Amino acid sequence: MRSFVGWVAFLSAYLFLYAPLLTIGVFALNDSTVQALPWSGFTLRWFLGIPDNGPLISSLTFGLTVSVLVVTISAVVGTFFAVSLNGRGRRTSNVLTAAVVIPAIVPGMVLGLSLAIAFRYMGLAPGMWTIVLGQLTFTLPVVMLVVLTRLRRLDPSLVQASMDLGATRWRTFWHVVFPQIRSTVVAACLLTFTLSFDEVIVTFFLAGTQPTFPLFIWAQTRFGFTPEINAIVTIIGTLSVVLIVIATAVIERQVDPYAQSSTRRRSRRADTKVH
Amino acid sequence: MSTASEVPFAVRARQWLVLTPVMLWIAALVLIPNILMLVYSLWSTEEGVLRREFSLTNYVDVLTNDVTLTILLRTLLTAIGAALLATAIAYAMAWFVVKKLTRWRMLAVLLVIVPLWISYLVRVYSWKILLGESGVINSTFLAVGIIDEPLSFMLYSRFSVFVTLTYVSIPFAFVAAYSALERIPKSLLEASADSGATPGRAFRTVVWPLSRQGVGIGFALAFLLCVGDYLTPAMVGGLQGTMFGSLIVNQFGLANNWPLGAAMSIVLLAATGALLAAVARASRSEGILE
Repeated sequence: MRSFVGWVAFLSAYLFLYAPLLTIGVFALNDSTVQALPWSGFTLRWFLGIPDNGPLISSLTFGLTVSVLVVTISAVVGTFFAVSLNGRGRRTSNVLTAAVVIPAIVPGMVLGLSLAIAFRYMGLAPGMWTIVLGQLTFTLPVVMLVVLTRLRRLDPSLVQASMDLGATRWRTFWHVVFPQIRSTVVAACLLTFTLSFDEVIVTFFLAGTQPTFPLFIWAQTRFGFTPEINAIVTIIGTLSVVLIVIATAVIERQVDPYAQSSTRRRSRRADTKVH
Repeated sequence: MSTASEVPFAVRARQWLVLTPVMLWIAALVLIPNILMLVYSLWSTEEGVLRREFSLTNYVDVLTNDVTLTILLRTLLTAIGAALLATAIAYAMAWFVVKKLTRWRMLAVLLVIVPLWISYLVRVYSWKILLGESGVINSTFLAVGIIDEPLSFMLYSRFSVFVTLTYVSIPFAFVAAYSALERIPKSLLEASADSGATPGRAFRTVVWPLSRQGVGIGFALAFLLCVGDYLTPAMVGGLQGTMFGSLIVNQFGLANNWPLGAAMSIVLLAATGALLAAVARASRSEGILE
C-alpha cells in the first residue's frame, strides 16, 4: 500500500512536468489563434506556415549563429583557461577561478544590467557581438570548471613522460592531454549550446534590433502569440529529445567497456573515503 | 611546495604570462562591469541626463520606499518558497529513482531533464494556457462540475508566479539532488540496516548528512533562477505578481533611470548573497564522497 502511494506520487510529479509541454504540442494543432478551450478543430496550418514567417526564420538563424560562436569560443578559450589555471598553485588558481565564475552565479538580470552599462561605457553598439560577449561571461566558466575538474583527475605522470621524451608543451597538450579530455569538452559544448540558445534574461539587455529566437518569442507574447510558435517549439523540442536519446545511446556504447570498472572503482574509493 | 628562491625568475615570469589572458578576461568582463555598476548606482539622473556626483540617494530611495521594499520582500519570499518546494519535490523524486528504479533509472532521470531543452519562455507561457480563465484547468473543472465559475485567482496572481517558478526550478534541483544521492554507496545503507537502524533513522543519520550539500546546491540554483527572473512575472504575474526584477528592468527601459536600476541590482545582489551564504553554511556536508 505504501509503495503504491509512492508510485502514484512519483508518477504525478512527471505529470506535473509534462502537462505544460503536452499543452504546447496540443495547441500547435488547434485551429484557432486563441490558445484556450474549447477545442476548435485539428489543423496543420501552424506547422505549414513556419517557412513563410520571415522574422521567425531570421531570429532562428541569428540565434543559431550567436550560439555557434558562443559554443566555439567557450570551448577553445575555456579549455585554454582551464589548462593555464591547472598548472598553478592551488591558491592562485582558486582565486582566479572564483573570479571567472562570478558572472555565472549572479542573478541573470544583475549580470545583464552590469554588462549593458559596461558595454555602453566602452562604446560597443548593441548587436551580435555584445550578445556573444555577454553570453560568454556565463558559458565560458561552465566549460572551464568542467574541464578543470577533469584535468585535476588526470594522471600527471603521462604529461611528465611526454615532456621527458622531448615533446613541446603544445604537442603534449594535443597528443596526451586533449585525447583524455575530449569527451568532457564535447559534453561541455552541448551544455553550453543549450545555455546559450535559450538565454533571454541577459540577452535582453544586450541585443540590438535583431532578436534571437527566444527574444522573438518574448516580443510576440505581448500580442499573445500565434500557435506558430507552439509549432516551431514542438519541432525543436522533438528534435532535441531525439538527438539527446541518440547521443546518450552513442556515449553509453562508447563508454561501456570502461563504465563498469570505473563505477566499481569509484564506489570502492567512495567507501573508503566516507568519514 | 617550491619557494621563490628555487624557481628561476624566467620560469615564474612565464607562469604569470600564461595567466595574463585569464586576468584580462576577469578585468574586462567581471571587474569593470561590476565596478561601473557600483559607480552608476551612486550617480543619479535628472530628466534623463546623467549626474556624475556621488550620493547615496538611490539606496535611500530603494530602502525607504514602501512599494519597492514590499516587492523586494515578496520577491525573496516567493523565490525561497518556490525553490524550497521545487527542491523538496526534486529530492523526493531523486530518492525514489535511486531507491526503486534500476532498469528504468536512466530514462527516469532523462525525463526530468528533458524540459530543459524546451524553450524557457514557452514553458512559462504554457502555464498561461493551463491557468487562464478559459484555460485547460478551468475548462476541465467547469465541464466536470467541480466549480460553477472559472477560478480567477489562478492566473495573473502570485499563485501563478509561484507555480510557474516551482515548475521551471524542478529540473535544476533534481540534477543536484540526484547526483548527491546516487553517490551514496549502498553498503552504507546496508550497514545501517544491519546495525538495526529503522529506515527513518538511516535516512536521518546517513542519507541526509551525505546529501544535504547537494540539496543546498539545488536550492541555491533554483533560488537564483527564481529571484533573477523577470519574464515569469511579466508573463503570468499581472499587476499582483510584480517582482523586483520587473522593477529593475523598468528602470532600464521605460523609466530610463539606470542609476536607480543599478542600486536596486546591488541591493538584490546583497540580499541574495547573504541568503546563499547562510544556505551554504547550513548545508555543509560532514562526509565527502568522491
